[in-house]
Amino acid sequence: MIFSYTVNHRVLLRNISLPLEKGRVYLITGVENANLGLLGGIFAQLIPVRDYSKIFAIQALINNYTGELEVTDGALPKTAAYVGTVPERHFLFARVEEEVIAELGDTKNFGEKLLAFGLSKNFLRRKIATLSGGEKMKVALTIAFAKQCEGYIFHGVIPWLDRAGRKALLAHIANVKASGASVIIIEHEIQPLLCVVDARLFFDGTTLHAVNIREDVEPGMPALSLSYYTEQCQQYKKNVLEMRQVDFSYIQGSALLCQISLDLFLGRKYVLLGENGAGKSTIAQMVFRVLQPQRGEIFLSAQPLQKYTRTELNQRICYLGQFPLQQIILSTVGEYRKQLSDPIIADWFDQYLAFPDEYPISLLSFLQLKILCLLSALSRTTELIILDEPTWGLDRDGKNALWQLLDAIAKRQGVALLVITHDLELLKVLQPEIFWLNHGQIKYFSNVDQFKLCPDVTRYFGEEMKIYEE
Amino acid sequence: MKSDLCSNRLHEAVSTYLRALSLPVKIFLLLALGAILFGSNLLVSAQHLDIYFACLVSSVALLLVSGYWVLSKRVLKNMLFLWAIGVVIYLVFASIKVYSGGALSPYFTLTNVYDRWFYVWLFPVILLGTFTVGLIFMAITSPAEFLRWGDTGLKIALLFRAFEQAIQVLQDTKTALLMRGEWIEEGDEIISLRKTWRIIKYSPLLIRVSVRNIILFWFPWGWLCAINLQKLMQRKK
Repeated sequence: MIFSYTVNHRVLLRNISLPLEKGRVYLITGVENANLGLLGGIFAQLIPVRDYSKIFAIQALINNYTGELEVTDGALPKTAAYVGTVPERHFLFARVEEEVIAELGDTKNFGEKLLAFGLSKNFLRRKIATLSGGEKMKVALTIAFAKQCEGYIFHGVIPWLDRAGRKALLAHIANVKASGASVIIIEHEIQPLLCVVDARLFFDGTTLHAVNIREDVEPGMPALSLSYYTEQCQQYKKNVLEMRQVDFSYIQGSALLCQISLDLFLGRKYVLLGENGAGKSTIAQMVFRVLQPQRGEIFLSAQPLQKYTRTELNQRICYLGQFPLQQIILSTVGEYRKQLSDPIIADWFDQYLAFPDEYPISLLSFLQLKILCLLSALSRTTELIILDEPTWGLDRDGKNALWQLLDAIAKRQGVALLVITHDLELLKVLQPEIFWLNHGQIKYFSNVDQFKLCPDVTRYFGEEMKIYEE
Repeated sequence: MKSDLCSNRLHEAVSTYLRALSLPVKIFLLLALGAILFGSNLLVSAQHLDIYFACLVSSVALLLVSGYWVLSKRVLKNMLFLWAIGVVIYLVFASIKVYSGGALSPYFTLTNVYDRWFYVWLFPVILLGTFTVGLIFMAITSPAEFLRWGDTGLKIALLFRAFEQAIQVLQDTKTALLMRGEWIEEGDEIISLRKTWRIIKYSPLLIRVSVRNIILFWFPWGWLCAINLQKLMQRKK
């Protein structure tokens, strides 16, 4: 199959050639730009959209979806399922059940299919807005695999998935491959996919080239020095945050967090580890007073959290949520730039977000949005930085950029860093102290070695731990 | 704790029963209740205004009780809060009209101050009833139910969904404003002038950001999802 795609005589994709044989898995890596997103959409026949809007502003928003597709050889798969980089963009409806009925006709056996991704049958009744990013992605994948299609296209899915999710994804890919469907995976993390991939192609921004499957396979992220922490952590004894016997539940009678206690000290780095939906983000939101604990107390620098005004809290805690878009209030880069009073933070801002003032926030990439939210929430007096799933949806370069910025921040001012994640790779990268949240209970480990030696951890993570030991 | 659990079960049972009703029945109930609320206005007369007012208030109270069983407490609280703000502003202007002695209605003359107050209160009570009926309908109806009506159903579903999404975005934006110290926090139950002023001050920003987020971040993919669904429905035919 060979095709080209043009929008208003601009060639966005030129002579894209892919054999698309039945029962084969193709991996596309390469330059991450808007055209790569179009590529997946075209394979899935979501794009081009034939409808045009008479309203100019709307047409401008959807312009790139309404171009001309010219297929010069072969044909696109007749039926295809597509799962893209942004988890919530797969859902038109508010509840999982509604979405499943709309797309599959009924919910028969769907509960069992969810189990394969480590989600319970109750997810059918959940509101999509209450799911974490990883859970949304798992539901979207379950719906995609429940469809009988000739082709499956996955773009940027891996960074959202935890251990169970990745395992289930690979198993499902192997199944559909065996049933004769072709699979296209557009991804930057190559390593986890090597066991299922048959051919690899490189996207240079407009065209595709065949490359060796194992070419440039990165062994994993190097351990970051984050030198400030290793040098200073012994000197600092100041308790930044204390949580005492905190309980929380979203549904009455079903506790999500039970008697949670933890201490965070200035100048140290921590990882709060747990599977998708374990309640990690809930802890972060309680610390930032977005949610209120139902029982127990939280102290910030030895003062009850409630004693602080919001301005004081914002000066002490820098919180970056899972979905940066939800933290965006202003419309342009310039509006955010104007709000920065600290010259060094302003310098970082210009370094990572070198855009003119009138540049719209809606055009920023996921990484740029994260950096924008991080820097706009940071101040000279910040004592605690909370990053909720910072690596979600980021490729390797994106992760490196984010860690470099954090290292610079840490070197400048002594902060406690709390990273909330399901990603075990971060243990290797950060070498942090660990809080493991499992079934509503929390366990503390002073270092990675202690964590790895714990029998419960070995039992729970099994082979997964070995991968990150390599 | 036990009573909470029982109340939750009852809430669940009522919601499940209403959700299970077919779409035409739900629409009929919506229209019928709407007609009762607005249509009954035609029967009102100057002589029996107090009786009519009592009947209307009782009906709306019944609707509110039903709303309590179907809607979440948060939704009900927010609705009552918004309604109360509207009522306060409305009553400021209405009281001038009540005491200035001018005609309140082109159909009949009300001279007694009590009757004039009854008449003035009709509008907010009807509005409260309408809000409650609308929210109950939304809570028990899924936009996906409209898909059975083909292309028209899909358009209704998309519109319905846009409205639902607007509520969700409003909530997200409120949290974002709260994090910046530009909105009051959940625990702030005590009504104070400072907090009310903050709500009034930042409400335009809240609405502007919510509308922008819907247009920029939801509309394009919501629209793509709808078109994809349209293709799927055509294939199934």
